[in-house]
Amino acid sequence: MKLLSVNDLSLQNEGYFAFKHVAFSLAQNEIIGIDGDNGSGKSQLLEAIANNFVSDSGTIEYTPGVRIGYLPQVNPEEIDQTVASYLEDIRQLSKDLAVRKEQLKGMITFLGISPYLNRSVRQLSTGLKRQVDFLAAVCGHPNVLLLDEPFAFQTRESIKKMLELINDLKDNGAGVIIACTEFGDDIKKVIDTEYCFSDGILKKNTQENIKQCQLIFSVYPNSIAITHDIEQYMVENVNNRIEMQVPLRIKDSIIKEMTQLNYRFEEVKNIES
Amino acid sequence: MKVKILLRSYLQMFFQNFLYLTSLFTIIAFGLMAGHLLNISELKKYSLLLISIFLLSLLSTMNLYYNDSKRNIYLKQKVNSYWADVLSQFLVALITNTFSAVLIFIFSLILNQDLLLDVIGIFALFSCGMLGSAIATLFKTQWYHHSSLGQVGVLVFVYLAFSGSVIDLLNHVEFILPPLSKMIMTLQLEASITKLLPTAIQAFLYSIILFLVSSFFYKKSKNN
Repeated sequence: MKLLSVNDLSLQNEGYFAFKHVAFSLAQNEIIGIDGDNGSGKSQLLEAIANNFVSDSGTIEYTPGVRIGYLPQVNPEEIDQTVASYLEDIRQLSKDLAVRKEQLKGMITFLGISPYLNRSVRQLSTGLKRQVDFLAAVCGHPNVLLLDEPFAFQTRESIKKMLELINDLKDNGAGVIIACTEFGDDIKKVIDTEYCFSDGILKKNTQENIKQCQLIFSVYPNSIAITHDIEQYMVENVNNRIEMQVPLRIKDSIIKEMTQLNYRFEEVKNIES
Repeated sequence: MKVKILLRSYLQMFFQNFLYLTSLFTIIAFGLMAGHLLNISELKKYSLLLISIFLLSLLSTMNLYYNDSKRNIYLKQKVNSYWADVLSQFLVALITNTFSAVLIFIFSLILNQDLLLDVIGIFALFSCGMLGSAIATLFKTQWYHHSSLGQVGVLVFVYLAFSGSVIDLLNHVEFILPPLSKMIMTLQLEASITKLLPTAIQAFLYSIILFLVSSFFYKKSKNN
């Protein structure tokens, strides 16, 4: 079931397009990933979907009963309350539709912020504040969850736990939109549909426009012959220098394999095709 | 719960900001010292205190809406209730103006054994404060969508509040103007704080009307 549809949405800021002619839809049990450079329009699009401002043209259709949970890129609110009372207050805003009190407790323990429950939110580090904001977005049990750079300032372990919670929500019928400057391999695994924002235009990420990167290795005297599965990515092999063009998502595994074959990794350059 | 969350946030912003408390204690200090330093009568001092609390609540409430526009956007999205927001803003005006009026009156050294005078003295100060808060609320758009319109609106209303009973030309339309100058003139003519009661009630009702007008006006513009 569709939760929301964005139809030909455009927004201008002081004569410049923040985004133009954006169209996509979000369904239940779907996670959409939107990546793009800084200033490409991701946050503005999420703000428009969260209904914080009105776009210049186009429409957003919300299915009746949609409740939005939103984690903004930066939350300017200064919260003097303790983590426990703040999250409980926010949970109670959604009344019976929110997660149960015990569930919230479970999420807090799972994310590892139990030791900070009695600390005031404004005293927390940026990373911890972000986790509290994430829980504040999730604890109302929204059926549309908008996450703007949710993994900023987070350790790999925290990202993994947040992704598990996001997946849980998805399995319970929610639709999720995650906007990030770049998705790591762990995050890509949970994304069902990936879009890329470039100069205010949203494109579905297909094989043709997936970002690629160029890897450069140097050859040692004891380097072993390159296997057939890696060879397909090689674009040049001159003067003991190997140049490869590989999709960004398999960059790490290629570097690992080449290192195991005794090639020295020299550098990486991102390419957008 | 919605009102509780918003009210807590507004009061925190109001009292944690240096502007309100610094200005309030400046007025209190003025109330304590004015008689000795300027050699003015209690009624003149009280008139100046009425003007001071009006300006104090006008500026503090404008500052509250400024901070609100910067900080509370995502909180309001979570709360998602326009009327809870309106009610919280009104309650903040009631609480802060009561607090200011009581403190200013007590430290003005006008307080005496005549309970009626004390109550009317505090109520008149409170009404002037509410008038300032109501004008700031009516033109809060200066911190959101129409900055110039809001600023001009505040300037015009403050001018009318001070000039309503002073300029003869405005005498015919005095009843629709903010009755601050009317309170000052009444005090000078009647020479008694207790005689201020009708005008103080008028000022309080005027501010309630401004709060109501602004709540429906902003509800309409939000729908648009």
